[in-house]
Parts: sequence; C-alpha cells; structure tokens
Amino acid sequence: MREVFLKELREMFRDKRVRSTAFLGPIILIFGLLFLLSTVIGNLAKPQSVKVHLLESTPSAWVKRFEAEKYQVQFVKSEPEGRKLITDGKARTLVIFDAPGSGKVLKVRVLFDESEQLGQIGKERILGVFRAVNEKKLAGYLKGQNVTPEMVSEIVPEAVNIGVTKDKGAGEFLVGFLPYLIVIWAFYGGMSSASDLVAGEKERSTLETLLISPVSRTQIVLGKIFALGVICFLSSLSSLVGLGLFVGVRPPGSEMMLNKGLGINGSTVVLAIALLIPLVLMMASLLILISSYAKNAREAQTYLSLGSFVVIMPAMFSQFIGLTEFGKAAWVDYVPVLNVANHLRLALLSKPDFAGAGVAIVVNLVLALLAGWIAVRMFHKETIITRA
Amino acid sequence: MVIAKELTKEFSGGKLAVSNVSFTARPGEIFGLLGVNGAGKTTTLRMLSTVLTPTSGSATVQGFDVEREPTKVRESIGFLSTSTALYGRLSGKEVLQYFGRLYGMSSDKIKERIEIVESLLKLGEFWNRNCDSYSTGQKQRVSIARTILHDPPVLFFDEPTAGLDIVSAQTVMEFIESCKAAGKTVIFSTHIMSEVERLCDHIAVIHDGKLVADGRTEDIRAGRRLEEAFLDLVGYKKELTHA
Repeated sequence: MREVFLKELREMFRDKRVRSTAFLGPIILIFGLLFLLSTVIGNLAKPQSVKVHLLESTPSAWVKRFEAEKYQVQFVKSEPEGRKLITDGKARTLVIFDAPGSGKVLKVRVLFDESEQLGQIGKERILGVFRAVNEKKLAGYLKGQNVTPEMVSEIVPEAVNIGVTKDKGAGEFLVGFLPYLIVIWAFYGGMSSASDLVAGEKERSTLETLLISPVSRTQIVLGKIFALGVICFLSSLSSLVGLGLFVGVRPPGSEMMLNKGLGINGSTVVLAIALLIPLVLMMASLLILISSYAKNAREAQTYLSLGSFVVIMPAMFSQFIGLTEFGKAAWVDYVPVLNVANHLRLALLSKPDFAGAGVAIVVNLVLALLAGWIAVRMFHKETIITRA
Repeated sequence: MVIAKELTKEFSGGKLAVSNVSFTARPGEIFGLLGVNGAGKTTTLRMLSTVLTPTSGSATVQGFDVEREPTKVRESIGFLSTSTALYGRLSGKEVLQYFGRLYGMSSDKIKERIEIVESLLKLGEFWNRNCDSYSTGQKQRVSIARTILHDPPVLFFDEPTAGLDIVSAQTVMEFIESCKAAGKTVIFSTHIMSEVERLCDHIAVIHDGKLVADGRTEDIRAGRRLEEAFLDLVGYKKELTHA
C-alpha cells in the first residue's frame, strides 16, 4: 500500500493540472473573490455623492436641503422626462413636490424602479431625509409645549450584544464563507486527479499491469484513496492560504471584513483538522469509487461533475445555516459535508460544539469506510478490467 | 511450466469467451496462442495471470494454482502487451524502481537488477526523463525492462508487436527469442503468422473460445504455409470474388 501511495502522490504532485487546480486554484480564487468583495464593500461604505433628480420647479429651499445632504442635484423639465430616465436606468429617483393639499401638508412623491436595487436604496435614503425633517419639526413643536421626547415615549428599546466579544470569533462574513470554501475544496481539489487514478489507468492499460503484480487489490485501492485524501486535504488548506494572502495584503475595504479578526486559535485548528481528516477520506473514497466505476477518464469526469452537486448542495446550505434555526439541530451532525461546515462555523464563532463535532467525525468516518469498502469490492470484481 | 486444464470463462450475460481450453507450455520453448480478434486469447492469458477467475477448469503456473495461490502465480510471471503501460510522469528508472518494490524486491536487489536490464536494453541514455517524452521504441524497451525486472520464470506476451514500427517490433521479437534461450516458459499470443513461424515451437489455435488445434508448429503446418493451415482451422471460406 505504501508503494502505491507514494507513487500516486509523486505523480500527482508532478501533474500540472493538479498543481494548478488543487493548490493554485483555491489560492487565486479565494484571494480574488475576497479582494473583489472587499472592494465592493469598501465602495459601498464610502460616503458618496448620490444623484437625485428634481423638477425644475422644485422650491429652492428643498434644492438647498438636498445639496446640504450631499446629493448631486440634477433637474428635469417634466415628470415624463424623469420617468423615462428612471426606466432607461439613467436616474435612480425623481422627487416631485406637489401642491400643498388641505391643512397645508406638503405632498411629495419619490419615483423609483423597484426592480433596480440602487433605485430602492436611493428611495430609502430620500425618505430618510423627509423623516428627519418631520422628526425635527415634531421635536420643535413638543419643545414649544414643554413636552420632552421621553414624556411621549412609552418604550425606549435598547439592543445589547452579549454574544461574541470583539476580540473573539470571526466576522460574520468569514463565518459564512470560510467553512464553505474549506469543505468544497476538499472535493474539488481531488476531482482532477480522481479520474486519472483508476479510470485513466484503465484507459492507458496500466491498471492491468498493476493488477498482475503481487500487491493485493485492497492495498492498491487503499494506497490510491490515501494519496488522493492527501491531495484533497492540502487543497482544502490551500483555500486558507488564499485567505492568509488576503489578510497579509489587506486591500481597501478588507478592514470591514476582518474587523473581528479570523477567529482562528489553537483549538479551532485542532478541531478543524479532526473534522477535515474523515471528510477528505470520505471524499477520496467516493472519488475513487466513481473513478473505478467509469470506463475511461472522460466518463469519470462526467460522473464526477454530477457527483459534485451532492457536495455543493449541503456546502451551500452551510453558508445560510446561520440565518435558520438549524445551526444547533442534531440532524445536521448526520449530514455529511454540512456537518463539517457547520462545526467549522461554530468553531470560528468561538462556540465549538465538541460533542456534535464528535458525531460528525464518526458519521464521516463511517461513510468513508463504507465508500472505501465498496471501492475495494469493486476492485475485486472482474469488471474493473473487463468494463474498460 | 504452464498447464491449463479445461479452462472455461463465461462472462455475466452468458457470453462464453473461453470453453474447455487445455494446453501445456514448457520451459525453454515459445508457445504460440493463435486466434483472430475476439477468439479468446486475451481472456485465456488473463485467467492464467489471475486477473480473471475461471468459471470452470484449472490452471497452474510454475506449479502454483491460479485460483488458490494467485500471489505466487503473479510473482512468477511477467506480462507484456501492446500497451507499454508506463506512467507518463515517472521516469523509466522510477517505473522500474516502483515495480521492483511492488514485487517485494529489496533495494539492493532492485539496484542490481536495474543495472542488468539497463545494460541489456541500453536504457541509460534516456531513462531519467519522464516516460511521456519517450519514443515508441524507448517506451517498449522500458516496458520490456519492467516485465523482466523481477526475473520471472514465465512470460506472457499478448500481441506485443501490434501497432509497433518495424524496428520496435524487431526489439520485441529479439527479446522473446532471448527469453527462450534463457530457459523461460513463454506464451506468445498473436495473429501475425510470420512472427509465429519465426518464434514458436508449439502452437495452439483458439477459435470462438474453443481450442481447435494444439501441437508442434511443423505438425500444424503439415507442409503448408502456416497462414493457410490457420485459415483452414478457423473454417475460413473465400467469400468475395471479383465481379
């Protein structure tokens, strides 16, 4: 087994496809993705001059008011012209001051396109401007009546954060993002090699030569599974290298994503490794199983692409599990991929659940053994040669 | 020595690939296994090399039963086919070291045998490069080296020259002749009659999975060209005539 393991590792490390997809790929992808997101977040956080369209007939006091609120005011001659600009995507909002109605209440219409996110954001900001004016007017009126705001407030709510303190746990973004990346690369990292390891060997006829050697088929399969497991594990860790690079470079906007640090400490690392080892063994066993079934490398690639959906779905759900009640649900520990991602998430939040993680480890180990056992059985069947 | 007794292989779905095939291949002779494509030659060799299990019948290789002692059988054989079966990202030397270890050879023994096959097959000029970069002839030489590295007493050749150029094919033929000279038991599967006439002392003809002839080459020929004798044995009838 050791000889097969070492030979497969040597070949995979020499394979440019493996080096680029399993190791370089996650680093570039993670760094690029984080860089892009931090740029977007940085831009959104910047105080910006936002355009607002007004009719030329707008009272000058309101024009000055918008300018004071850092709006870049642009005028249109008529409402139809403003509507056209919005529907053409050239304007976000058009504010129309109608004639005062009964009681001299100023009626204002804010025109926007609900299907445009920027239009919705613009509308909310403008409504905020009017709310602030109303509140100021109300406060002035109450003051004239010798009434303090506290006297008319029945409830004064206050939100108090008793969760993760500032120096513990990762930011929300990393908690949602990082576990997903780690588990997904445990599969994708091994995908390019897997098709080559058995189906490719069938195609090149090297498998028959290997089967004629005195090494038992069980040892051959296990050697391949462990070698692929190492690649899956290293690929998974490569996504952390990408993250490390991002932290090291700290592009503009990254401070908002990393404001709470990485939430990685000694126990997080130990727990993550303990969770990852059964996961990568399970992934490697599954990949070898699929590759053993396929007639050739191309067929293996097709099956592996289909199989990747089984991994992607629970992995994607792990990104949103924090928005649901399922984060602490017991059944999650029994769902492969999701269980690891969820416990990595909890560990990053500095709320590790060791008992649940233990269940996840056992579940994934059992599945790894099952998939490995099926792969060994498949290798002992004659179809491993005759189905080529 | 290789002894096959009523070897039969039926695949799932009921396809009878080999039926009651019996023969004996002796040390120091080249035993030719002849047949058209799909006749059952490769299936027979696969049963003898323990890759496939016979449905019925039995076979021994160097006295080891293919079903009860498969590891001993595999240790006793070398297998060479058309496919060079090399690993593209390993050098020729690494391939030999790998197979040496798979065959349980010690490091010293591997080194000793590699020196022997290297000088025998003149591998030194290229074998540190990855196999991907070899010419067909170079690949075939490394393949031969892999086949004999553990010095097996029995050698199986499954259409080893198919698709090779004349020079590479000549290397293989000379190697097979040298195996006979070294007293090895050689089973040579082919459908190229000129090679059989040159190499084989004894031949068996398989057709539709059944053994239709087994004897010394000159007896099978019976004064005819081997090709004619073979076509008679497989029941070939001239079907096409010129308009």
